[in-house]
Amino acid sequence: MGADKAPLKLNDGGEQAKAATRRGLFHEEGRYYRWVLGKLVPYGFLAPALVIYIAFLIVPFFGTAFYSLTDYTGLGTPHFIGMSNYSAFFGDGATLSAFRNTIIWTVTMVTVPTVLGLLLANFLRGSGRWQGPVQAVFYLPAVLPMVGVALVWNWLYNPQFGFLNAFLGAIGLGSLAPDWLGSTNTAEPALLVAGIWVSIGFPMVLYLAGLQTISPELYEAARVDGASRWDLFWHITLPGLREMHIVIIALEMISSLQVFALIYAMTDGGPGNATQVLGTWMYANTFGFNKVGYGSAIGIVLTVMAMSVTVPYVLWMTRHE
Amino acid sequence: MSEMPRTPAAPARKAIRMTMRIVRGAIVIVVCFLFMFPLLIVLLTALQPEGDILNRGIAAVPEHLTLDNFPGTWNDGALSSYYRNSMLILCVKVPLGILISTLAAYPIAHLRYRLRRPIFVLLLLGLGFPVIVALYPLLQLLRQMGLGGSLWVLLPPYIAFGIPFEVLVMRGAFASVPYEMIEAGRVDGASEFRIWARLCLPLVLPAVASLAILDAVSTWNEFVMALILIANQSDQTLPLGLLNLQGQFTSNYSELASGIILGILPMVVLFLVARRWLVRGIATGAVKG
Repeated sequence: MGADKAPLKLNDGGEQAKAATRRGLFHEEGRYYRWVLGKLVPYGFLAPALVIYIAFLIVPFFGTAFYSLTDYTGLGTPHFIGMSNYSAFFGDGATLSAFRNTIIWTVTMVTVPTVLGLLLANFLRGSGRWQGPVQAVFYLPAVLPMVGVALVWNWLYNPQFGFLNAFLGAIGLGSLAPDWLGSTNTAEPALLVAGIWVSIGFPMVLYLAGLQTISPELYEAARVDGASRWDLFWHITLPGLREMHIVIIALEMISSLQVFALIYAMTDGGPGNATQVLGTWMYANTFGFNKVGYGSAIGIVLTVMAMSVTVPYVLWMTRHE
Repeated sequence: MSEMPRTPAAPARKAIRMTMRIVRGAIVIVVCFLFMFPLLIVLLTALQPEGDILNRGIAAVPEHLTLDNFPGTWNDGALSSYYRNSMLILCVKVPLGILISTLAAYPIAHLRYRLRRPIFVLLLLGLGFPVIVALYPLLQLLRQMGLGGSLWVLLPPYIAFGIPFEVLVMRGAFASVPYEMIEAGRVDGASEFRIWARLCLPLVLPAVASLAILDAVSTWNEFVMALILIANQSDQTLPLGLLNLQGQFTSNYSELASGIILGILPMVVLFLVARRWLVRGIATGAVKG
């Protein structure tokens, strides 16, 4: 990149350089060019990341957005069919069931693990000796491959030999033992239990980190004023974790909207489509039924849902920039 | 309290406090045990001969404990190939991804230019893009690049989807480098690259280590992209291998369980060894954003 080329591309062929020199901002034009080159330094640092990020993350999303407006099947040429795939979305029972289950997942994962994680963190902060091991126990599932987690629960739920039904049999309730993942009534709750199990560790770890930032003096002062333990939790701990609440709820929403591996490896959306979520349903349509156009529309709906959380969250995170 | 005279009730109160502590400890142990129960059952299954599981049931007290299931599973399940592939992609992806993101994070933390916030926002939006939605066009793109038939088809998307979190963590780390130090480097005439490499990088090494561990975990565990992008079984990574085991050992529960144990073992070990780094990485990544 020659020093004399940069400003040519950026603006007006050296006019600004001369003007700036005239105004006495730079002693000579060469200084000006060096100054312009300096302006490019940040982009030099950013270039590798931006190129890869745009090529392999942003561009494919536009590809999917394009396919969502077509009848593409994976073969031949895609034909533009406007918003048909989107109108089909809201008339398709299986898709609406996937939509509903996605909402159920999101609401469950934002509430249950978050509350349990908060309770655990609050319990652990005061108990020095327990803190490390208990934290390890509850965080361990989060570092396992999700497929591994799925297989663990599949074995527990196994209708013939799994522990749950063996246990029910042992206490004389064998007649009640259901096919946990194979029947419409129990499959979704069974999945949710596994999902909660994996998800507790994350909010717990974050809340523990957040609790360390609350000054102990606040608690001391309140105790002197005769506040109860409940008062301390309600008026100091909870408000003190405000930022953590935002971070955790946003990240839990983002990840539960995207839930895929656990469901794919446990029920693959079945029985019927009882446990389908938008991720698995998009996958089934795009890669299973060769309905790339329709699958892409499902994907775009999912993306819009995820972005409606991510955009405000990212703007909030970068508010001090 | 301390001004009160010792009353006969004091020892009693002490006893109550002791009892409370023991009860509390017992509850903690029981809750932890129940939480670990699904994993313990798998371990117990892996350590018993298949016949015992089928005849006596998993809820029975085990009669024989054995390690015999493991070698068979390792060979029948072709686990060494999955391990090798996962290790290969991890060893390339993690350093490369962190290098790229560490470069990108520096100007976001310490340089002034007009597009700073828009670029940071753009990079962070990737935190929320559902991976699976991008995969069809991504597959076409990667095939056109001629990567379709190898393990390395995973490398570009793994790096791309790792950038948002890595940049977030590294920007937080760079932001904690004092501005005066960087200014002093500039006064001494060092280039920005030199300031990045010689002044900042040594100071953010702890963050790099935390990030490397987090990144290793998520690369090792990645499933969706591998499921869709990898064409040949010989290129499959460990999560796919685990899924294959489920199909392969449909009715041999002991072998399946030993496969699950072998599949999750590396992460369990890494977790036990590097828990502090991991937890610190998660916390800083989320908080310092």
